[in-house]
Amino acid sequence: MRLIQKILLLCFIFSGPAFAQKTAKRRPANAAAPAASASAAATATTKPARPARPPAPNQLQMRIGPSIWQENIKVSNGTSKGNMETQSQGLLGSFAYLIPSSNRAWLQHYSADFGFGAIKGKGRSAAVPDELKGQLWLVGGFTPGLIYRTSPISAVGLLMPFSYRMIKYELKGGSSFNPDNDSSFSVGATGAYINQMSKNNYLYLSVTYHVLWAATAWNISWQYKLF
Amino acid sequence: MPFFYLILALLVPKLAWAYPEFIGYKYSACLTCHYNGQGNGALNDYGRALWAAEISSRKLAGSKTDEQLGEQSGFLPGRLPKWLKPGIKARNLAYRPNPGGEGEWRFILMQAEINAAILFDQDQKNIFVISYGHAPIPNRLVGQPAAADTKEWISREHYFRHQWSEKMWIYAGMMDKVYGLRISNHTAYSRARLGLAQNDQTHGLVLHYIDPKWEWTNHLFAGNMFQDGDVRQMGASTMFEYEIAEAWRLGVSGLFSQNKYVSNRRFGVHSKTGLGYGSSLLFETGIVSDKPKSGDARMGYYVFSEAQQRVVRGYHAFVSGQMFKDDMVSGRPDLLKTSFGMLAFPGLRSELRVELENTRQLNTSANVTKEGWGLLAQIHLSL
Repeated sequence: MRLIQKILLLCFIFSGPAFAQKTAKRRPANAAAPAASASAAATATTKPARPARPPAPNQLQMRIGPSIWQENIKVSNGTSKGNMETQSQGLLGSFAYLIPSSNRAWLQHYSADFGFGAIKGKGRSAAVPDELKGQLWLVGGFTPGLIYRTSPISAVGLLMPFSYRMIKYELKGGSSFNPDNDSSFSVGATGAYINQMSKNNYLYLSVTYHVLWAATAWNISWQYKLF
Repeated sequence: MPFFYLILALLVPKLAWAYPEFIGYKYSACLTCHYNGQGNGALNDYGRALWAAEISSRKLAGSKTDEQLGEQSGFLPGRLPKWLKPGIKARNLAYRPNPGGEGEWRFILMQAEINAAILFDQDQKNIFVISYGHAPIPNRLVGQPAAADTKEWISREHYFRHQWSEKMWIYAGMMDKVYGLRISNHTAYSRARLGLAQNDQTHGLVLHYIDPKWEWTNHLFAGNMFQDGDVRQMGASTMFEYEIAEAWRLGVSGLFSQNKYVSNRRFGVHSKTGLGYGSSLLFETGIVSDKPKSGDARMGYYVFSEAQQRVVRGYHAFVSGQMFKDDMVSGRPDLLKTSFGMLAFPGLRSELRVELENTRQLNTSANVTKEGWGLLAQIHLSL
């Protein structure tokens, strides 16, 4: 048994150079010398560091789309006081500056926001039954936040909008009806979903809870990458 | 009682919802996973295996491989004859209007049924599918005299399927009507307001032609034969879908039906798009026309949209927007429903859907209807 093992071992030892000789005969004429190729192989095995991925460039994006929310506004008429359930519809726009992290998964988001629309409502109490329609509102604000890329073409965001709003009430002359919130401020939390539809075009969906207005605003926007 | 429903839901079910959202996994044709080529109803063996091996989370799977999970996905795997594919299914809905306010939880057993697919040949060219179970009395009928006439134990589907050729299938029996995106949310405007809700099945004949790039389905129906003859909606519907790119299908649907009192017409277009892996965008819009035999005809519109994002394997977040107007005249409100939530398949044979819904009315008057909030949670487990 030991003899057989020795024979097999000898066959193995001598078969290596024989095989190398055979393959050397087959090597093309223009191939590098064995020494050079061995050196190349050694270099390859050291696995040179992959060139660092260039950092993703910062981006400026604009978005625009409709928004809707409802809120309760305090109203008074003379000495009577009450609440008015109002509904605001309008168009919101933003310029958003995005700063990607080094691993490109996270983006810092800073946007300047603006918008306009109309508010309407009717007093809920018999004491103040007055109603409003088509009253212009203007809104401006700033929204910092974070966006996380969930796939190459989709992302979710958690943002914190700071908003200031003016309502340009135009009441009938002589009316003692006085709705509140001519100008008001709110801060909120936004959950956003962003989907890339083409190279520069995105679908942006968001829901925002404005704490000081106690209102939940929905927004769907078209977002465009400016650079 | 809620505990009883929970236990029931835990003990019974088998997945059988339709998820056009799975185009995000590059599954664009429902026939891949369902016996019914339009989706919904019982899953075939491939559908069960796919659910186990690709869709559901692996957190509770231990050291089992995806292949092992797929093999164990059936009902009593390996113990039943190959020609019999039974299942048990239940859905329990927990609903709370105005969460955080005065609303109270309501628990509704939406569905509890047994079903079976009987295969007449090895190639599954001839199949009979049947289900029988409990259906709750609709909310609008509770306490009404009509509730006494409403059956709580019904068969929602029973049909025979025959594969006529390589690309043509014929179905005969009771099924859901063929129309639009067959989504799992039965309360969506695009289902509930169109007469396509979970109890609106009909007896009829379906011809389904499937090409790799397109499919066309025609449905001729005689109404629900368990209903009185004068209320049965008889008619026809059709749906055509074309794949204009990988994981992007556009479709068009039409439906016409009538009974002794009213004739219904619906026309819609839809799009379903897969994005990345496991994420999708769905969109459907259309016209709804109801013409009563006496009284004024109404023509309205509906919109359904949903974006779903796969978070990790087995878990998806989604946001949805819907609109509906029953009559496009001034004075009638536009209903707006927006929601977001989670669709999860936490483990083998389990499914959970949680959704926070916000409803509003848009109208031309100064009157503002208070917005409504609803929290819906549905649990769905399988054997």
